[in-house]
Amino acid sequence: MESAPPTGSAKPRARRGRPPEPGLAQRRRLQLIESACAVFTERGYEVASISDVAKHAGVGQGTVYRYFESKRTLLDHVLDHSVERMLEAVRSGATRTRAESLDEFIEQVRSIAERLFTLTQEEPELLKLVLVEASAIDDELKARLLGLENTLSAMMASYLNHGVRAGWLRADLDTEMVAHGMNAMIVPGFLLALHGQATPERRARYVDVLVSFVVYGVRGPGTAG
Amino acid sequence: MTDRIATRKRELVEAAYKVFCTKGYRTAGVADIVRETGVSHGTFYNYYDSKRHILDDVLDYAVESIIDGVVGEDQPHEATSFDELTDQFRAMLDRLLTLVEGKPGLVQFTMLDTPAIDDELVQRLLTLISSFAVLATAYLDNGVRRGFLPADLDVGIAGEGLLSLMMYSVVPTLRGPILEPERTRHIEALVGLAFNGMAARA
Repeated sequence: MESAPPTGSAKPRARRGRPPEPGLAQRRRLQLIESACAVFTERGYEVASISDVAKHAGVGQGTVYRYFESKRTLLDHVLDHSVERMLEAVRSGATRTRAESLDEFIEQVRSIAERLFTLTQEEPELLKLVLVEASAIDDELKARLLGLENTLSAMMASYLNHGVRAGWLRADLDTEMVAHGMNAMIVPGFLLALHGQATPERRARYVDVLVSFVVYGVRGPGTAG
Repeated sequence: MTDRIATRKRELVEAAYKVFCTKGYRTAGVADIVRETGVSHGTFYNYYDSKRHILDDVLDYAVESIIDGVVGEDQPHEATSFDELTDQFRAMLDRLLTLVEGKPGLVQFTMLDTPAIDDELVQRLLTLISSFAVLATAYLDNGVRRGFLPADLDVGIAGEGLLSLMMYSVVPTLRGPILEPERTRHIEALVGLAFNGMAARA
């Protein structure tokens, strides 16, 4: 996430020209990242150029280069930005209050699933860029994305551990491993979005069935099996 | 005549498959494919216009061999009980991982490189994945028909859930080989999730 903002000279001295507008650098960076998101997803990363990003943001190419040294650096930031939104979707569904029963847990999982599904439907192209295209660009990016997958799983695992301790999740649940499996449930939503045939009803149905799938497995909530 | 054409095309496709998995699609060239088969450039261009052109056939071939390798003897209509179906899924996951271990580069090629090439390939992959989902659904359908899975199970979407777990099971192989005992743990966690879920049962 960290990439030093342009700081200018370190020692205080009399400044000339336009007084610095507080937060401008931050806002400009964000604006450029958002433009890059739009351009990369629309044109494809390979084809897109810095000049496309500049045009989209309504600034000169020089401005883009003042903030980001290359197209590849910009992609790093686009990824961070998108992943942050995905993590936010998970966090806001899960951690507001800790689930204290299976029913509360189901509600939270549903809320996370709904948020992630909404994200996949709103921005299927962005997800395609992040989840698929980026990993093909170079090994460093692939390693970063796999690292993020691990972070997400670790978050999920600690959340599941609480349920095991409290007794409403299976005592033999391998939370660390299962957490990776839960990440897999983004795949159907992603596919649905890419197919472009998602109606709100269909989406709601997917969320219902997949939540039941991870909570009860294909045997369902009944005890018969 | 047509047989000979089919055989020659098959050779080229198999060679290209090998080359794409080892070198990666982006860095591989037609020269690598002809070197692998031992034919001339001219022969290659008798059958295909370009690297991108043969890729369509390579993808079909890759997917066919994955399906054949993974399904094996475990046909969708065969399980007669919940436990048998569980065992089928476990065996298929195991075969999938074995297949991937035997061909490093396969996951990168099919799941990452291919969809990044162009939108037509994305659509092609989506169609292939849909047919896998239909297959996964057939296993669940069998269970519902025989009465060992709940009658109200949405087999279509749950089938996609099963398939997603299978597809996702190979993601850790992108980090490196999964060794025992992690490998068994990984398989058992996914089997447990798919069949029993996470909830404690009374």
